[in-house]
Amino acid sequence: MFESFLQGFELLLRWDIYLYISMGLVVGMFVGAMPGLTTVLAMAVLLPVSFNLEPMLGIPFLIGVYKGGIYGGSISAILVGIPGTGASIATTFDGPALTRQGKARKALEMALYSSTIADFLSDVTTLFLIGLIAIIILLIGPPEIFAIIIFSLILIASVSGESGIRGGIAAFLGLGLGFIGTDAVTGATRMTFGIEALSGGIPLIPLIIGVFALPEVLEAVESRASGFISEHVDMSKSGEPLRWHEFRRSIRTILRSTMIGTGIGMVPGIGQVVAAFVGYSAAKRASKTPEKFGRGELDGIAGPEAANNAVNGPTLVPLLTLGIPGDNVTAILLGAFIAHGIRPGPQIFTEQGPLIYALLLSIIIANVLFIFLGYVLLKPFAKAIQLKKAYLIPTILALSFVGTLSTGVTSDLVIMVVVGICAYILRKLKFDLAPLVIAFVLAEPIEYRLSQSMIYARGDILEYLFIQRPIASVFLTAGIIWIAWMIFGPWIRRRLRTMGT
Amino acid sequence: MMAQDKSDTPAPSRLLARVEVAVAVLLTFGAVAIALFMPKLIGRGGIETARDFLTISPAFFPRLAMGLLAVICVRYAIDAVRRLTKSSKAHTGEDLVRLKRAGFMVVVAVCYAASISWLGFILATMLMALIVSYFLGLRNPLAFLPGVIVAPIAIRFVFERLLYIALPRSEIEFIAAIEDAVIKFLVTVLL
Amino acid sequence: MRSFKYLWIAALAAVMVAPLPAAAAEYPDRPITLIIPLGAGGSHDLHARGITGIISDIIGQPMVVKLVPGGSGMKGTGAFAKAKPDGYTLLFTHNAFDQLRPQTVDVSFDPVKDFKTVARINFGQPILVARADQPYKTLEEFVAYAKANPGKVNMGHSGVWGATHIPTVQLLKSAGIKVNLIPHKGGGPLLSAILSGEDDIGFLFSTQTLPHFKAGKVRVLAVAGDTPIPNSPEFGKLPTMASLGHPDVAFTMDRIFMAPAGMPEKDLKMLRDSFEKLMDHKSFKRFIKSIGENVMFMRGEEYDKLRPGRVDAYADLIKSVSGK
Repeated sequence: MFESFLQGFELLLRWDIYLYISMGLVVGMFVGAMPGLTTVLAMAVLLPVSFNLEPMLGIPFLIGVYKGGIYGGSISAILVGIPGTGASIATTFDGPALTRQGKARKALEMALYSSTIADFLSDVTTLFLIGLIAIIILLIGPPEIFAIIIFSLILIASVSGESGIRGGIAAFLGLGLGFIGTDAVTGATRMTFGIEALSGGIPLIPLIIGVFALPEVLEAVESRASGFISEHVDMSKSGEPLRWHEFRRSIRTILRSTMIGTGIGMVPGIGQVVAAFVGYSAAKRASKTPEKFGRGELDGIAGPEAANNAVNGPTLVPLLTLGIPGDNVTAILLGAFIAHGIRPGPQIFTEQGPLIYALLLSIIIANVLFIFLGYVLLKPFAKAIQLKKAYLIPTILALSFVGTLSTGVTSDLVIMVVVGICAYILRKLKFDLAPLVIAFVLAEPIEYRLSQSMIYARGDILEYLFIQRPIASVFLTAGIIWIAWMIFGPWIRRRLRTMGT
Repeated sequence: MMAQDKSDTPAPSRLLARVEVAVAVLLTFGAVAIALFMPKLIGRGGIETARDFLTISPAFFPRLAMGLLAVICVRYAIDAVRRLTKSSKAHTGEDLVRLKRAGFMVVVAVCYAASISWLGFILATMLMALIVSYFLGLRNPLAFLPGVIVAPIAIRFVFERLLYIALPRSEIEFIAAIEDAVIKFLVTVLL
Repeated sequence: MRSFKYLWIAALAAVMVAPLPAAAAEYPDRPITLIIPLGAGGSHDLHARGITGIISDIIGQPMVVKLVPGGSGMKGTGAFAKAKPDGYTLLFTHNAFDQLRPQTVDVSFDPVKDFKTVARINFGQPILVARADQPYKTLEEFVAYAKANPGKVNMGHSGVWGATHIPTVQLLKSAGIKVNLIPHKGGGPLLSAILSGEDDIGFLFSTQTLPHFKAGKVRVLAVAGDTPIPNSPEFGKLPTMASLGHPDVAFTMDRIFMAPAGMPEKDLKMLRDSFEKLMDHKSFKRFIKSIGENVMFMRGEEYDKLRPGRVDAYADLIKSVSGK
């Protein structure tokens, strides 16, 4: 093994690999920063480019697009409050607030450092523990996924308690929206009200654009004042760079989120969105100043950004060891592998060890490259948004439409606009719509994984979940204890105190 | 965003308080109606095999979600009515102006969505950008016309010819022919 | 305002040349959109990325892929049906979406009447795959085992009316056995369920199965249909379902390009000819080989003759499964 590792190292001794990675990173960053243009789309479009390159160039290029794209999504989340991808929704909690305070540069740098560091650590972990992770992944079946989703939801809900009734409404609305479409277990359509365009459910991209971009545009137009024409978005001074002492405060958060993200990355089909939310929630819970979260806290950037990037390492494991892609991104990577004659599977390390090690190493190197490239590119990006509002608003509106069209059909525009108008009204009534999106994302997996578990259980679902599947049982029990503690904890503490005195 | 949500904010304007009551009532009734009639909303296409051990029907989870939503909404509606009684007329005028501006943008967005497949991406985006720029106070055509004209063409060209992503072409043959000619012209010049 | 001046020149030039190509345009004179009713990264997406890059050399215009997944393919197919039938929107789909799924739900189109086949590129053959620790080694043994233990075998499939659900229900019907059917979202999760021991058996495609078969983790029992898998040293000798007495287990996933029935006959013929030319294209052959597939080309006219019969056969299958 060590030998092929060294041979893999030799494959990396050429400069053009780094050129292609850098190109991928830059392209990905640009695409990701546009609202609605997803990383997946960029990768699918650029896949044929990689066909024509040799594997050691084409695949690192695609990986560069992927990594750049995810960070690009955070750029627009921080600067204009519009997440470029689902993964950066949690970044909109604190990013725009920091931008309004003139700390955009700090936020962008924090996002860059936390995401590349987390990605780096998770990739290194993956490289060394690939065998172990492969075993863990096969231990996680439908009941475990169900239990982990429930546990994550309890964790997320427990720290967003102050959203109160409105948060609850948003979450249940999201669940309801998530159930629209074709039921995955029986194949029946439901809640489509006879509309064919809804038979596939509400796609995520129009929903995200509708929830975040359109209200942003409408709210900006609302305050049209006399000086509006000359008013720049408050980016004219993107602010001071991140200071070391500010970064040092978030190191714990980054490490915690890295562990969370790496863990969630091993669970198939949950991915970055959930990791980012859990990372944010955990950072908030552990913080000494949780009341600052949501009002411009740098830790609130580090938490989700580190978590959603730490997912990347483990998601490569099922792709490489089983040939099974866990999501769209890895599915496209699998396509690139196959088109280059590399067949991922149990024997890939014996058959093509050097190449695979070289690729894994190039992924790790991509992170290091990205720290420098990202740092250099931050300024032009901040400048690009230094437009007059009168230009920025039609641009955002047009890009929202382009984003929806590029991943969908014209009927998705209707979905986006309807969602956008409803989201605007709810936001005016002080609703926080992030719970809506996370509930929407998880609605189908919850139902689907529970249904699968019931079929496996052949009748007694509780016995199956709690006794036959120990991992599921641990997560469910922990969730139940947590809820009990949330409800009865204060009361017990009070009793203990009175008994003490 | 998450934290701004406390209820100790100053009393809302009457207008928003009314909107809130309306939304609360609408949501409550909607949720109750969907929860009640959920089995009717299950379409054709479901199969019964493999359902021996599956005791939850496709209607179960949506019903659960909508039922719980209805319960919370009732509570929300009560709060909303209470807030309405406490609301002041103070900011109603200002809020109305704000909502009207947003309403105008909503109209623009709806028209944009409706016309994009009919007029095609380029023309619809030009019109949208023109109207929005004017609405936002730009008056000097030299300042915004170049952007309004160039940007949609550039976007369509980049997407269609470089990224291979199709954007809608007009259904009106005359406009479509011009679009094609412009794009072809750019292809010959630039590619 | 230099850029402004150039702009006017460009606009002027555009207006001047505009009426010319519109009058005497030869199909196709602008990019063709190819709708795929499936998600990114699947085998259709991969095929399409390779094919669209090469066919543009033959038809002289780029072909632009548009992925419209959702609703078991019906969303994308519906979008294709709604598009103007001028030949500038094509569909790359498979036979379950074309001939089966529209029968089970309410859709606004009739594929047999509204669509015409341009070409069948090839077909994927589902293989019956069991985990290596199962007590059965052949199809006969599996059928006997399932008969002796009704409902005990966990048999997975890739989603209701998906490409591996259909041969599964065909087999259950043909052999008269009862198993515990587990739905998954796609072939990948099904494969990992088989490997992790949750599912015992299920239909998979050969490219996915191969590495695990070589590693000795899974056993292959039979291939659906009546043709052995070509050009495969590992699976070439695998018995077909037809040769084992189950001719009804005939589902293969045909990768087909469709055009609207309303498009001009002359243009459709041009497309069909172009796809036939594609099959002899050197880079296409290399591409198909590199992704481990075969070319099993059929011209659109011939495939169109098969479709009505298939629709009827699936109608019987649907009736027997859904009891309606």
